[in-house]
Amino acid sequence: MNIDFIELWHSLERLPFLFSITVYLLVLGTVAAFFAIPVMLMFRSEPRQIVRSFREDRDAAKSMDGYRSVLRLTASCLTLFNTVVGRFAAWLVLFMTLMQFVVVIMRYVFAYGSIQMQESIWYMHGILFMLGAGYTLAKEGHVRLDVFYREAKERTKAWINLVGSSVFLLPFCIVNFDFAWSLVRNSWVVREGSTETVGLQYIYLFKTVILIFSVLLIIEGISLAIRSILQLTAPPDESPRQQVQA
Amino acid sequence: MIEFFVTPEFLCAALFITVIIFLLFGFPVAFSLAGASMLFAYIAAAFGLFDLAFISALPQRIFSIMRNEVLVAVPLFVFMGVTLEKSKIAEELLDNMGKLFGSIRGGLGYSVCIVGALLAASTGIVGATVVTMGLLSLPTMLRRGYNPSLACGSICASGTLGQVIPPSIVLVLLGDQLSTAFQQAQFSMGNFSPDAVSVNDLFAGALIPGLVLVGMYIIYQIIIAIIRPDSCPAIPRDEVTTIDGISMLRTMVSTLFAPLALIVAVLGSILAGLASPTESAAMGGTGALMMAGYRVDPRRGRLIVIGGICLAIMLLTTLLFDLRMQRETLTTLEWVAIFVALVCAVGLVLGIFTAIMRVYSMRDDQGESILPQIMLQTMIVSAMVFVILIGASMFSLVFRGLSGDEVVEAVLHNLPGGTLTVLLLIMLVMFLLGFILDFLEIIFIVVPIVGPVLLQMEVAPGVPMSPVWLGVMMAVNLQTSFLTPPFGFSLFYLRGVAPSTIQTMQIYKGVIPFVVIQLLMLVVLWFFPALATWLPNAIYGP
Repeated sequence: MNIDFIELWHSLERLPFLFSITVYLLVLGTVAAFFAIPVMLMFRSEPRQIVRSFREDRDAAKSMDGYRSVLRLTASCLTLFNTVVGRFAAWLVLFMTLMQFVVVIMRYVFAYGSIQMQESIWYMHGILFMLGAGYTLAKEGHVRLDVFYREAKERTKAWINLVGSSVFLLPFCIVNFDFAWSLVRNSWVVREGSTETVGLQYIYLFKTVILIFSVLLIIEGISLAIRSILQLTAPPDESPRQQVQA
Repeated sequence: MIEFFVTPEFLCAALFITVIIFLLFGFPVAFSLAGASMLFAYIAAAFGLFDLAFISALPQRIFSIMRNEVLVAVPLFVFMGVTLEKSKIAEELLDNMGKLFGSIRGGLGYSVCIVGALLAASTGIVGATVVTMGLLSLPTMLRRGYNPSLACGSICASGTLGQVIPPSIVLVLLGDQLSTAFQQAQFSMGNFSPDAVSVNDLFAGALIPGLVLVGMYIIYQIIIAIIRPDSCPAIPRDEVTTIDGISMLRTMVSTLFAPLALIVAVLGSILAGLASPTESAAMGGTGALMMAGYRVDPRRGRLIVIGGICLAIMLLTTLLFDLRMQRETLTTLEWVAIFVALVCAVGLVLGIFTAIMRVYSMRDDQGESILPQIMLQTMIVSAMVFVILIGASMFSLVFRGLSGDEVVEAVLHNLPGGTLTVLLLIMLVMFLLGFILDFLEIIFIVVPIVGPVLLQMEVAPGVPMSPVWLGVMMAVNLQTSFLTPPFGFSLFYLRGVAPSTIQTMQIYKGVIPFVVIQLLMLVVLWFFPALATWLPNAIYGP
């Protein structure tokens, strides 16, 4: 074996172009592969889970009669919408962790920075909690001050939820949608991009998330109000059912 | 009569009281806060007392929350904490610490303190740690004959430690709010190129006070163990070492070392100024994922271990060689180093793949995969945090629209007694608010209002107030508030999971010494601000 490794490396050195292409492909391939598996897992697991949670929710409607059953089913469908959005948005957590990890390794080890990758993390962060807000409401994830609420009767709780969603939540979301509309429209008109020339040029899409946030919360607020009304008007013989899953 | 109602003072007080009353009904805080302040604004506008242009800035505020780089650290830290929790690494850590210290008198109490300090840091939500430890440690401690008061007290207190010990979510959010407040304070003092105060500073500032608190908790328990030995008996030695020494040592190393190394690495890289909180949170999150993946099936965990080793080699080559590729000339050795690092990168990626697949294959009690659950939980916590921030922005816009900031400034400046009175008053208000509000609302509402005023004051003649010191004071103060009977949050959480044989009075009695320790800490911080300001100055320069 008389291969001169040093000589081999020198010959590679004379092909910096080839080398950088290889490196680029390797990095790109690694990053792409990095996200391929989570995407695969996401499409494998989520549809099943969504269908399951909808079935559980729908079954509660079956025990009711007439218009109550229709109302309950409406509430279930509204929540279904948020479940779909929320469960898919949740995977952004994994993507943003991995993306930030890749950015860190690239910066500290190879001294290679990508503004687009960095900005994509902010996008994912913003989209995560804005799109997750509705699902969080459905899952009782938004903190309540439960000094009184904890001890309250189910009927009182239903009243609080009904009044709260119709007086606080829905007006707030509508007003927010209204104010955000002009902001988002202006952004679309100029196709607003990043402040960095090499950044991601999709600020106008990112801003649109504020409108979607309002819509998702309106949907979930209506669903919450319907459930509360149903609980308040429940005939005494109707079996007490899960109001909102904890 | 009319004059009385339209004064800004009255309107601000009315807004504050209205919002608090509506919050108490129990509709989710974020929406009550936003909705009630918005309705108040519309009613005030109908009487010509408010300009609606103020609240039309809300979407812009929301957008700035969405693209705030500092806040990206929050979901990442939550991800790390939830991964450790759901994969039962946290549980094992608590269990093994108990075994390690159990044979000492009072040892279970020490282990609760230490684990509380380590874990709560990453979980960030006060309730979670108290609940976990209440479920896991309290039964053990009671079975071993610990005094119920002592056991409950140490669990409650340790569960709140996570707020003041970095890397905690509380400090990230507080740091973000404080830096805005500090900037405003500097602007109004005429300094248009202020030094920024960052989350890193606050982390460094909170480290020593946090460790001092842990130390004082443990010293208190040692004293109790000496003067009242029967309140915290040791586990008999022969019960602890049912397995032989060597294998015991191996489990200890694998279960204690890994989480400790992770937390120390995350904290160390932030404090050493190597990485921003966001970056080290991502490293921590990925590390937690790999640990969780390894834990699912240690026998087939070779790829994950190789991934970890590859990471270590990569970092080592970075230290030894210059790996920048976009240069004109590279020596042969550097090419080799780059090649090695690239190969390691591939190994690392394989390790992370395996970890993700393993965590995905891990099932909980209901037979569902835990990976989606970790992510859903993370999303729910961060949505909860940020939607409250949105609600609080609405509140502060309305408050500002009613010229509340000027009112607060005037009131605070006219108080007799100078900085000490003002600070005491604000601390008292925050303390009392801590009984009814969560830390999020307090930080998001109170800090933007009083922060800019406070930070313009002088602690001593010629010495401006340090934002880091103020942040640490606030964090310790809030922590105390969550501990104080009868309304402290942490007590409610423990009450919820404690066995019914424990009386509420016993919990109250047990926690009082810890409250005294906390108050002592605040006094010490007042007299020795260097406790908080020394480390950030030493690391990042004044």
